[in-house]
Amino acid sequence: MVKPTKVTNHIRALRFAHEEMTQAELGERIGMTRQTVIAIEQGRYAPSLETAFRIAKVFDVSLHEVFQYTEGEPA
Amino acid sequence: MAVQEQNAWAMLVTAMVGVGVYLTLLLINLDGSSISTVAYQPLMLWTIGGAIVIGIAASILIAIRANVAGEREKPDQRDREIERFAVSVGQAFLVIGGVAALLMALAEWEWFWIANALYFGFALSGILEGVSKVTAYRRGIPW
Repeated sequence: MVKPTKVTNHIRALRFAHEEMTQAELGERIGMTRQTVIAIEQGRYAPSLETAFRIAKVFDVSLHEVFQYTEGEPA
Repeated sequence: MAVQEQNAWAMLVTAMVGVGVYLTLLLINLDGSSISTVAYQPLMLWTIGGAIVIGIAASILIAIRANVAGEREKPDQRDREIERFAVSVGQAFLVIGGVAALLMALAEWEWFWIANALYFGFALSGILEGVSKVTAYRRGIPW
C-alpha cells in the first residue's frame, strides 16, 4: 500500500511528552476530530499548513520539530 | 470508525444492494423475449425509493448510535476534502450515463435503454463515490 503523503511527524512522541495527551484532546485543541488526528499520526493525511502550525503551537515547538518532509519513498 | 465513514459504508452498501435487487427483479421478470419489453418502471421506482428510504434510515440510526456512544463529532477539514474528492470521482459516471442517454435519445432507442442508462449512471456514480470515500478514509486522499 502506498502512503499518500511524504510528510512524517513526531506527534505521537510529543503527545506522550506532554502528559500523555490523548488524540481526542489534541483534536479538540486544533479543531479536528480524533479520527483525523489518528490519520495525521499514521501518515494517511497531510494537514493544511494552518493545522500544522496549530499542532506545533499546542506542543510549543517549531513546525520542523513536529513535521518532516521525507524525500523519495514515504516512510 | 468515524460517523462520516460509517455513513459512507451505509451509502455504498445501499447503492450496491439497490442495483443488485433491481437487476435481479429485472431478470426474474424476463419472459423469454427481449429485456427491453420488461415492465421496468415500477421495479426501478421501487428500488430507487427503497434505496433512498433505507439510506436515510441508516444515517439516522448511525447518528443516534453515535450520540448514545458520545462519538458524534462535527465534520472537519479532512471530512470535507474526502467529500469533495469522492464527489468529483463519482461525477464521472453521471456524465457517462448522461452522454449515453443523450446519444440513445438522438438515435431514437427504446425508452427502456435510455432510462436504464440514466439509472446506472446515477447508481454507479453513487457506488464509485462510496468506494472513493471509504478508500480515502482507510488509505488517505491520493493527492
